[in-house]
Amino acid sequence: MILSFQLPYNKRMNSKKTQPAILIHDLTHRYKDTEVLKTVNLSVMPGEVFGFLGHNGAGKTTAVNIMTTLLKPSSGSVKIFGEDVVQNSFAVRRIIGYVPESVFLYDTLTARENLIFFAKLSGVVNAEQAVAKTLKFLDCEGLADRRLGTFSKGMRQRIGLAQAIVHQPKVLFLDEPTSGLDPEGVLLLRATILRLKTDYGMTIFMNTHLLSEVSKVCTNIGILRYGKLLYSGSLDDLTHKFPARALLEDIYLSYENQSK
Amino acid sequence: MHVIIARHYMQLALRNRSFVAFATILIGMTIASGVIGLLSHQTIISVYNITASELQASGKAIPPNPFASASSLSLIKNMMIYIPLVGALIAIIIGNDAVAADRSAGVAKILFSRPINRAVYVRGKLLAASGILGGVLGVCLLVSCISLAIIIGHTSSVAEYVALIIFYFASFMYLLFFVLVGMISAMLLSSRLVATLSAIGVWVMVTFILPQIVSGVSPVASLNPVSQAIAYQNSQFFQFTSWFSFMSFAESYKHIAGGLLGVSSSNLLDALRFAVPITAAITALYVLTVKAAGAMSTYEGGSYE
Repeated sequence: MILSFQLPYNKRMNSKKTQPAILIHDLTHRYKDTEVLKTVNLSVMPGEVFGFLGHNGAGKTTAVNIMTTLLKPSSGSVKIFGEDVVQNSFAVRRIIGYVPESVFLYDTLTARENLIFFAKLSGVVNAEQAVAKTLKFLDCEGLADRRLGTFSKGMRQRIGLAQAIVHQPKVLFLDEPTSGLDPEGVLLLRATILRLKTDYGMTIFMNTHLLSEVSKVCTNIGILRYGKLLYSGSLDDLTHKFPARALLEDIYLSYENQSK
Repeated sequence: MHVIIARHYMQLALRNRSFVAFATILIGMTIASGVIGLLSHQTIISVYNITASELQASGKAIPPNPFASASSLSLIKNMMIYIPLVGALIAIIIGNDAVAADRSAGVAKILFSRPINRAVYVRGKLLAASGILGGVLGVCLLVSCISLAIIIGHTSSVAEYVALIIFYFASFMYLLFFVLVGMISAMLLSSRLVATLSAIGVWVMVTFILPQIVSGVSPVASLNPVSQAIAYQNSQFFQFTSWFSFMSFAESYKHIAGGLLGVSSSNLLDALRFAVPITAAITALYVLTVKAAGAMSTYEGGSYE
């Protein structure tokens, strides 16, 4: 494990009494003979917007799949607000929301019908009211009664986000949320993420391969390369070391050299 | 929770054009069955009346009306062919679509990140599929009753109505097997086309091949309640395969349906030969479907529900 990762992790764990929103300990996952996550340790505090950076195939989606209880880890543990994702998977599912990279819902149903279904599945008592509130929050009330099959990518992404927050989860997982969005859609999503943090105090874990993306909304980041966590800590610390528009490749190479 | 899943799928199914088209075809064929029954009834009565008047004119004895002793349900006997053909395909589509709608749309990942377990998911889908299938067969039952009332000009006896209800219930059980075949194939196979074709393959096996092997009948005769002109039972091969005749649901459905619609004779043993294996098969498929639901998420083995 590299030095630059150890210090921020331990420092944060010792200095704060608050229970972490996400606590990953020695997480390893293998697909047959390939180790896609290699002893990852990470913590995300409540209310943080955490950016998880890495190229395609770095292991980001595998990590999110484990955190969202879709995949059982080979070894190690993940706790969401103290609930273990393997031991108490249902307790975890009640407090998380998840937006996969490609948002596909039921095309023949309207946005409202889709959202009511997911709200009910999450145990929301007054689903209709919660859906109306969520649509209002995302400023997409005008889309409510249109069938999803007629939606653009950006519209789908907003409804995808709506299904993930309709039950007001404590932690929201976003997998490549800006993928395929036009610039306007990206700006809108960024604004929404920041509002979710300020209005609801939601902890947001965001997978992306764009450093420029996380710099707009995240306070802390993790950098993953071929399953190995190269860095975890404050974005400010990282931006002091690298130019603001540095490519991930530069950072990767720098940390690879450090670790050698 | 399973009721939420069931209601949701019913909402989806009613907007699925393929399903609506197939259901309309089955209901249309039920009407056609009634029309065919009516036309054949009128033709036979007409021929009987002409013959009877000619016999009367020549002073000969008039034979009894052929419909007087036959069950009025035999007029809609075509239903016992339409159900295993069109009905089974509808059942496969219902079962397949119930799961494929979630799987092909990529919704499964979102679904299984919610607090639902696989058994609840399968139960919900099965509840919805049973409801839809029951609804379609209920409409067919109603159409059959109306057809009979029109054909014979008065209402059938209570016993005939009971037999008709049992016929549709047996058909429901038979089709439920195919709903589960459709569901399990969609869970295990990621390609929707391959999943549908695999389920249709099972249907071909159950409807045509298995009866042929275990009974030594020709493929066409496997759907026909009339006894075989040539029996193969004496061959050693068919003597051996006949031990597995309980596995041929199409064959046992044919016997019980023929008995209920008054086309052939069947007894309580025939009813048990149908009811016991089909119930066992449905139960086994349900358990397998719950297990197979795990293949829908990215989760690979372990203790998650």
